[in-house]
Amino acid sequence: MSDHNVPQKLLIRRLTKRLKLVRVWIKRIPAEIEYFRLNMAILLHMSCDLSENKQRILHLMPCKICGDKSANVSTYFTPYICKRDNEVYTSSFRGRPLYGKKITVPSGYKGIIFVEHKKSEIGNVKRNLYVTGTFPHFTYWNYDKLPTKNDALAAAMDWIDIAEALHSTES
Amino acid sequence: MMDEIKETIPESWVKIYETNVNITWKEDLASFFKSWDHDVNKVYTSDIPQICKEQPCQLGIDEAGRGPTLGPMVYGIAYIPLSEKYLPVDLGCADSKVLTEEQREKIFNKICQHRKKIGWAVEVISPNIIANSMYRRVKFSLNDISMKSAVELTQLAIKRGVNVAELYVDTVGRPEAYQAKLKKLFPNLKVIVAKKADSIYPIVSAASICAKVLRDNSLKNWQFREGTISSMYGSGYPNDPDTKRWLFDNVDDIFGFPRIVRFSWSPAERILQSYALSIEWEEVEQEENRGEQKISKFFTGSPQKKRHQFFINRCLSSTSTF
Repeated sequence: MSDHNVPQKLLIRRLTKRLKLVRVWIKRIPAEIEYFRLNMAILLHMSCDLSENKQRILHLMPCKICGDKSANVSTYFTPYICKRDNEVYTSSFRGRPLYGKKITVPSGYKGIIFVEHKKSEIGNVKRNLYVTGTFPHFTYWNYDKLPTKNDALAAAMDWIDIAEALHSTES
Repeated sequence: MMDEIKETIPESWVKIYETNVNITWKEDLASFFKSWDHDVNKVYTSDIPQICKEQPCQLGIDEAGRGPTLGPMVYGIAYIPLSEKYLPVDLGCADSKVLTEEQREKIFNKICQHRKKIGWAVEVISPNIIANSMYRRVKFSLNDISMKSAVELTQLAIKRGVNVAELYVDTVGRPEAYQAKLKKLFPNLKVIVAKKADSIYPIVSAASICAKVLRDNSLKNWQFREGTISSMYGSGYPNDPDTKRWLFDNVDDIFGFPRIVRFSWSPAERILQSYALSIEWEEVEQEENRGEQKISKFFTGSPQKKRHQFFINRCLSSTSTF
């Protein structure tokens, strides 16, 4: 393990429990990163192919599903997604009406999905997260509420521009 | 309860007016339902007989499939010129519940044959729309849905030129309030709302038969989009053992059920509570005692650094872990 993978500066903002914005500053990026030490405890394994063919379709649900397993999204959810006016999508989950909107991952950022096979119960233990795919955009769903610019998630994207201004080095 | 007709979701989003399939007899219903995107409601109107445009008509309204856990609820209207008001009796229209399925389908075919005198229309209300409505933040009840459907089908018939003079409506609720409401919406019509109207007024029986035949066939011709799902779901009523077993056998841990199920019905809810992963819906964050300050606040030490409203509004927080 070499030091060049340790970020000089790290900023993580939590959007939701499962979605996080991470900004990292590193001296130089090696041509091929195998792993990336996010901080003392977390090691991100990047060896997986990050190119287009690993792209995944993501739905950010307005609820917590108390369980962790694969879901029949393509048969139970995707066929019912309907595009409406003004970029609004509709669907249902467990009978509840959902209104959704697509958000493109802003430039300069990359949507990456990590999976952790075994989460340690004890704190301060080294954790390994593995890349399983990437996403160029995702759909966020509101429960019975049309998506607007004021939704927490859409508004959170403002932070990206502000962070850019706040943390960029003066040229 | 029925004070106003509330909007569910924008009109254009839920109604598909069928144009490709012309229903001329019962056998056409299979292709009618095969082309149905069953996530939304579907409206069908027969051709309007010329005589119904020229002569004053009576129009009956009834529904089928109010109670079951599976499949759509169907609202039906039927209308005939007052001069032909004994025709439904001649065709055998009686309380649809005392007729067998076969008898109902025979009468339905006869109604279709007399297309020069009788007109009819239905709205097939998707189980998904029923669940969506009842699970809205402001609940839109089954009574609201029923009222909306009955009124809109009548308005559609009038808009298409039917010369409606009398309105006969079956209701399960209190007839007085419903009658007053309809009278207000249709001030020029004679309005009669009654319990068990389908056994009293033959034109309501005709509407009831159309609704019931469509309801039965919608279930028979249900196209699952959730992959290979068994069609052994019985009548769809919760006390039918086939329906019960089917509900138990077709739980999806995450999504619950295929969308033939009315998720908001308590038998469905109960099964999901026990056999599917539980779901916690995002609540709108409660604003904590805004404008109210506790006196103790002034005596405690410096409070924790409060996050700026910018971050609170956006659910943004700093973290150092995943």
